[in-house]
Amino acid sequence: MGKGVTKDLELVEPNPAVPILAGPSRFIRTMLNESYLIRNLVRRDLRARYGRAYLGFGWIFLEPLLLSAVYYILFAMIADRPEPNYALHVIIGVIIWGHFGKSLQATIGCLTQGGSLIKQVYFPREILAISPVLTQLLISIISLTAVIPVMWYLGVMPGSSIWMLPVALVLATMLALGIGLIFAPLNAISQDVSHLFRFIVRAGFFISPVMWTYEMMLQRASGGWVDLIMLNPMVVPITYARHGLDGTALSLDLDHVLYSFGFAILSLLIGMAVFKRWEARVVKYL
Amino acid sequence: MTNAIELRDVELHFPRKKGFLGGLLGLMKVRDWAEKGRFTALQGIGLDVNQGEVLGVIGRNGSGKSTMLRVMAGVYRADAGSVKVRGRISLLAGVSVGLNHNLTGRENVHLYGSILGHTKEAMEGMLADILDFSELGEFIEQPLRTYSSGMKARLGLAIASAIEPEVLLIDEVLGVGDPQFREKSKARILDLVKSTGTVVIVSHSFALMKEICDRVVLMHNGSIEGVGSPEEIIAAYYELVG
Repeated sequence: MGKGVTKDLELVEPNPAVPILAGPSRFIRTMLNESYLIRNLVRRDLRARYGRAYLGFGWIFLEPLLLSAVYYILFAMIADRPEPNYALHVIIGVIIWGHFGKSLQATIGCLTQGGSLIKQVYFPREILAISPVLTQLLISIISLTAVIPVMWYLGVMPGSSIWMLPVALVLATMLALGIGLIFAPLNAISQDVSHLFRFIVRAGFFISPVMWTYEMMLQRASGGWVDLIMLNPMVVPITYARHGLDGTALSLDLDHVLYSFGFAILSLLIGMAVFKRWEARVVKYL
Repeated sequence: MTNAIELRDVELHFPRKKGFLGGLLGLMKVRDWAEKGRFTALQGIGLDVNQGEVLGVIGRNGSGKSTMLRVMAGVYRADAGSVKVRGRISLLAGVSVGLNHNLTGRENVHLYGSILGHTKEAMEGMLADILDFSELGEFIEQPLRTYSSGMKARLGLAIASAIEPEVLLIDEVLGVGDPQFREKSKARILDLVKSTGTVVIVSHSFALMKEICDRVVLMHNGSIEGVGSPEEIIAAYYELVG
């Protein structure tokens, strides 16, 4: 390239402000255009997490298996006769909730984690939110293979409702990314936000059907209590994943399903708009 | 004369206090709050950088040189005024910014290259040149954590300077490594300056400024004190600092 070849190029702002309504479309465009960068960041994140461990990627299977064993034993001690597929339900709950919680916390911390890079190079900052969530999605998909030996042991086979499993993963991902994007700029101002969400994820473990199931809840709660519990948008994806894998019929109310999907879509749209609107302003707080 | 960079009345403020409520109100541009807890990093910056020119920026530490470069690169968005750039712009600041110690040298070429906005094909095309400059040999297949700091610096500079943007911004990257590497990196930067359309360079090396710059800008307390020939502005700098 020689000097003076740029005469035809227009003078443009290097990082123009994005109108709030254009945020989601810009966000999606970046996702589609920057696949090379996203792939490289996913590889970096995976290598950072598992590259130096002796068991390496084996931890992706081991972690949910060990956690589920602990919860299963704990629950079997409290309630002496858990339902027959309870072990399977716990492991699915642990994986889907873990996927949501880790994706949410990664998104909330994406600007603070990427601080040094953000201050040295300009690139679309939404990449920093997208890449750890995709990394987590990949890990969660691989960890779901840990249910195969449990299903084999219990003699459970998935049926035609297996489609509910990918839908559950997508729904949990959308919820985590959406809520995370809304709060990521605020976390750049003050990291109280990520501390608060660490607590929310821990508390959410108990109010979400990880150690209990939707059907167990229906046996104990009724009326207003059910509606209150169903305000938690994670009940639907975890229940979907369970029925997708064990092949049993789903008894969720359509209203609750629509609420959960609506929550996910709306939070993702708001999240993308808020993030694109504020990321350039909060960089100065990093 | 065509402009490659055009800054008009640029203002940039940084938050002084990082309290949550003040930060939130500042973010929402609630005026009183936004003005209370901030300090002004750049003020009334008006500057045209001509196409094909090498512009030096000098000033004391904290005068706003690096911040101005980051505003040009889009890292910080100006709070007031306008910033416009013609063509692809690249900021060279530090030699190991996008490098990761768990990845191999080759994987880092792809990672850092993609952060700088390049395609996979472009990075593969540059690989031979990067290998040649960084002198890593077989180490390119080893994780970066096994590298010495000199090797990391060579790799970082090799990747960052393999690019040929229309506008290149350089922020003090010449002071790292041993004397031999410094000479080599200076030669590399000079090559880059020759092949790139427009260059803005921040440096404390006045000899380099005199050697390569067409014009030099003097910054002081977030404002531009003067623009002119290297000799004239360096003299003004010494007058300013006493």
